[in-house]
Amino acid sequence: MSKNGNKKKYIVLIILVIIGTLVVATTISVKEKRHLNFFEKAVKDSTTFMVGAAYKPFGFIKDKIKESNEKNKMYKEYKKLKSMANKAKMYEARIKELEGEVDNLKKSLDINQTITDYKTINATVVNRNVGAWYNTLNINKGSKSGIKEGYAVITDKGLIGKITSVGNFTSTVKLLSTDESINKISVKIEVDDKSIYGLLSSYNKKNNTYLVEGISDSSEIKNGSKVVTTGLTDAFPSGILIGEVKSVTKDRFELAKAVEVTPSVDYNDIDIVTILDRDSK
Amino acid sequence: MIVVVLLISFILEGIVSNLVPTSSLFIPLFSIVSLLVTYPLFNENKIKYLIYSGTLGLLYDLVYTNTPFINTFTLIITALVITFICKFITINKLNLILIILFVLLFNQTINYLLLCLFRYRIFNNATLLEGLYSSLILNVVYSYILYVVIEIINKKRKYKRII
Repeated sequence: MSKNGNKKKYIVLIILVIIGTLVVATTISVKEKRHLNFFEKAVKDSTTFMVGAAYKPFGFIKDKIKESNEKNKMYKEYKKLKSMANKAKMYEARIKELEGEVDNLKKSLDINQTITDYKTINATVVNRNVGAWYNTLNINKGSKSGIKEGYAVITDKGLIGKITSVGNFTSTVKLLSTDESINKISVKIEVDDKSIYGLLSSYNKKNNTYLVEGISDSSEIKNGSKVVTTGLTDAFPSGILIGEVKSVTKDRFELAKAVEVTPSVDYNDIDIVTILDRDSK
Repeated sequence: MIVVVLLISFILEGIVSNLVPTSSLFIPLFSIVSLLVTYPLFNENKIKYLIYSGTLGLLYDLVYTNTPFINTFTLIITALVITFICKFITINKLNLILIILFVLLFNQTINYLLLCLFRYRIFNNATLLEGLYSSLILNVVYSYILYVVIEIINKKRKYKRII
């Protein structure tokens, strides 16, 4: 009886020690933005490669279904694009002219980098939002492709988040659709020729809207105005589309305006992303 | 057999997460489901079961979530709860659904509370509730399918041994 009692005590003690060690290790390691060690990189890279390879047939079927759904809308899209194509040539010429002008101005002012400069790296999503609480996605490019922590990640529709951890061949992206104020982003609302500055502070999953706060400007903000990044922080270049104004209210202190913004990105449909590298340009 | 089931479920979780909308009622948690369904295959070897649970949790942390030891910890605790439940109830087609519902709710609650404790997330009742109910339907269906598949494979193995 006493032997059994001692054995039980030892088991309880071992379990307590393991739990204690795990708690301490977790406290040290769980950070929003952190460097992965060699072991973590190796496991993450190899397993993500396996998951990516296993996903390929499913991805192919998904793409085919998407393709057939889109075929129905093709004629409408074609008509719309045809009318836009004429304007495109005009815009192209204008962009070239402006780019030349910017380059000349940079040379004359001896500026190496502006807030709109960046190099792009394309990547494919391997898996996303595994588990209910994480709001992350893993992509198939890592430090070997030049990706670093903190880089902005976009789709063809706009900003989706930033890189939080980097392996050799994989990276993790923290999405902006985290429904709490973890990452504040400096944004501007484009109203006519004017820019109104604010801070994107949170995401409301229920309404699918971002909240932009800290707007002291008294100008009227129209619904449908574009919201873009300001480029005032290290990670996000200027002019990346975030969404459109849905409604304007007062903040909780009734002092400044608070703006609800509908994201330009559909978070349910992210397959290919682009990482913006501000360092290499 | 156990390792294969756990690994397939683990990889399948990553694949399915890419196919279902993020804001839907179908959040896959196949790793936890596979832990419960494979429990009878361990033949009461609790230490082995806990080691497998911890390893699966660690892999989950490293590959999917980047939160080392959170899922290791929650899966070990979940495994302990499963062993406790299975002392009183045997897993069969009928009570599998009830047990899996309880295990999923328990695991997800602990996981969320730990993430809040380590300041990875900020506690919100509505988010917790939403996360809980959105992770039930798909996983209950998967648990049932997995249970039936394992049962069929086990039967075939038994026949082979007899022959």
